[in-house]
Amino acid sequence: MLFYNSGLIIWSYFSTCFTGNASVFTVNAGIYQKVYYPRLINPLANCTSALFGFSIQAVFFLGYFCIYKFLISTEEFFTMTWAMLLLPILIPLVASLGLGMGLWMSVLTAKYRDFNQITGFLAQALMYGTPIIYPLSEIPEKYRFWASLNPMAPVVETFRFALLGKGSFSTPHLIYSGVIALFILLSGMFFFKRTERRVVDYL
Amino acid sequence: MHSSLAVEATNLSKKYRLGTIGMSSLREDLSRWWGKKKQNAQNKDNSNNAGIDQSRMINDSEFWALHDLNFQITQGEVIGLIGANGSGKSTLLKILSRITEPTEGEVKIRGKVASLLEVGTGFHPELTGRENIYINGAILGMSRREVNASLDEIIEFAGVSEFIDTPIKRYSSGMTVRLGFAVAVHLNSEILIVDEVLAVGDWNFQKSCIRKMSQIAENEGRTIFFVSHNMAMIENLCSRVILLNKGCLSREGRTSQVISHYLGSTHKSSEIIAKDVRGGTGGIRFSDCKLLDKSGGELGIIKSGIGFRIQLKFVLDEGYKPIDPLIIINLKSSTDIPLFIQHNLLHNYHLKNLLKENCIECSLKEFPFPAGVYHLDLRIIDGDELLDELDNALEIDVEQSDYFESGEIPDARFGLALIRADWQ
Repeated sequence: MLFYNSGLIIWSYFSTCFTGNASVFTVNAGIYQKVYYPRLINPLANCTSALFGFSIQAVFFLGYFCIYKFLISTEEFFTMTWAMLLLPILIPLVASLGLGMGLWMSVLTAKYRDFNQITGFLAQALMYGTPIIYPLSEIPEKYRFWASLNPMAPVVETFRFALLGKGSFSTPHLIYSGVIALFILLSGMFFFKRTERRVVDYL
Repeated sequence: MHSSLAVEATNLSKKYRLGTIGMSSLREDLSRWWGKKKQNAQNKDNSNNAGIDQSRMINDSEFWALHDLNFQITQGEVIGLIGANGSGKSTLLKILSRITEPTEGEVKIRGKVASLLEVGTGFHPELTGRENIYINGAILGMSRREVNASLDEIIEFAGVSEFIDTPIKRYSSGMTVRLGFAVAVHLNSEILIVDEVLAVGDWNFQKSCIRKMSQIAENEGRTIFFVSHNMAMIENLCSRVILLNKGCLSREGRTSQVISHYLGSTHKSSEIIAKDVRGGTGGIRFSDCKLLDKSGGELGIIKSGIGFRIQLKFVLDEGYKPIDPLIIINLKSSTDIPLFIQHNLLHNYHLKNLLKENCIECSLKEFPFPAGVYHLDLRIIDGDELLDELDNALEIDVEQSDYFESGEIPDARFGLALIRADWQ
């Protein structure tokens, strides 16, 4: 229970950032056509307000955590670890991954509407590809390399390690996903910026 | 302060495509890519897009919304932007407010731009008036503190103080416009862009808007772009006018001159006979209309105040038996305000023994109107029947003259007619 929950809250934050920003041009078309301000504000605002939802879910998680820890005695051992200190890094990491991918999608959906359908599908496919409802260690050895290429995988694993002391933690993997996140974010911002200059003409 | 340039546009052009543009689906694009032949056939369909002047077309599916605009605006000027529908006014404003980019050329803007392309952009219907002032301010780039500084002024100007804590969705459309306008003029942007939005407000509000705009232009040195189809408003407010025609800058200069040119060019009145759009049942038709001076020479431009003759020729249809025809001359100002009416029966002049072709003259003792462009509407009524009706049959160019013989020449803004008086 706690296992799923911990994976899901970090994932749902990611997917809100991602899907919320994917249609940012089409949703805000009305205002974009009438007034100018730096367009990047909208995606950033989406990510920030998604943090609110994230913290509500985190409170629920804490509640469950306490219930399981102190009221229901289970055989399983779980505890929060020192990796909690990594949370201030993990959350921006997830945000920038979600934001970057969302920006990429927003550029595509601005041009091609049918990408809107793909967004939901893609988010779901990514979810199954990420160790949320299963631990990374359960993946057969020969596929594990491919699974860990997913930049969300180390993040979810580390997050779970921090909250429950379960899962794996490896610094190189985390650095890898940080680099990927940075790359996606910067390239997404670049294309977003390029699109925003003309997007009004074909919205 | 007044010498610095606020806006400078060089070779500004904007290209748009016809038909369904951009917003397509990947599936469509792919299928189009597969069947190139099909696409060619589709393109041929598109080429039948009529309605847009051929000179504006680049090829079958692209045209210039704006073409090669060059202009400079100094700080503190109030610029009127006029032109027929589709002449590119809104496109220009969109480029100026940075919503979209020009295809070619560039525009340099010095200062923060607040644009009012549509009133209440960014207004959220659920939030109260006060909250919306902050949101709108934020969108226009003002911090909370800057908005606070002018909050009371905004509320007072908009005249919505009783409703300020009511959600916008309960506002009347006029109130929304007033609030939106109030926010935009009170926030400290250097350049204000106002697109035909005041039309919704009532007369009082329009007046106070115009007063406010000229005030901020003069006192605070803010530059204003003002688009309107209401020529009287433009004449009142703007020091300079840019006239767009089919995406090109057709004329730029002093307000009254450009407006006259614009109205003249839209009316296109030249030869009466060539007029195919005319009312009336026929029977008698005008065939010519000329202005003559006292000695009978034809007049091109008329000096304000002098007298002249209007010569009218008209033709009777064969077999038409006139009863007692009424020849009506109606003079209108450039903004289409009727100034006077004159017809033969006012002076008991009856038309008898008409031939097939006839010529009559109406002598005006004086023409007490200031410089500008005027036009004549002509009508023939016989019995109770309207036989001929010609709007804008003739355009009269009137130039300034020393009507009062004192060297003082009042501006047309202050009165449509010149009246002589004795002062004691």
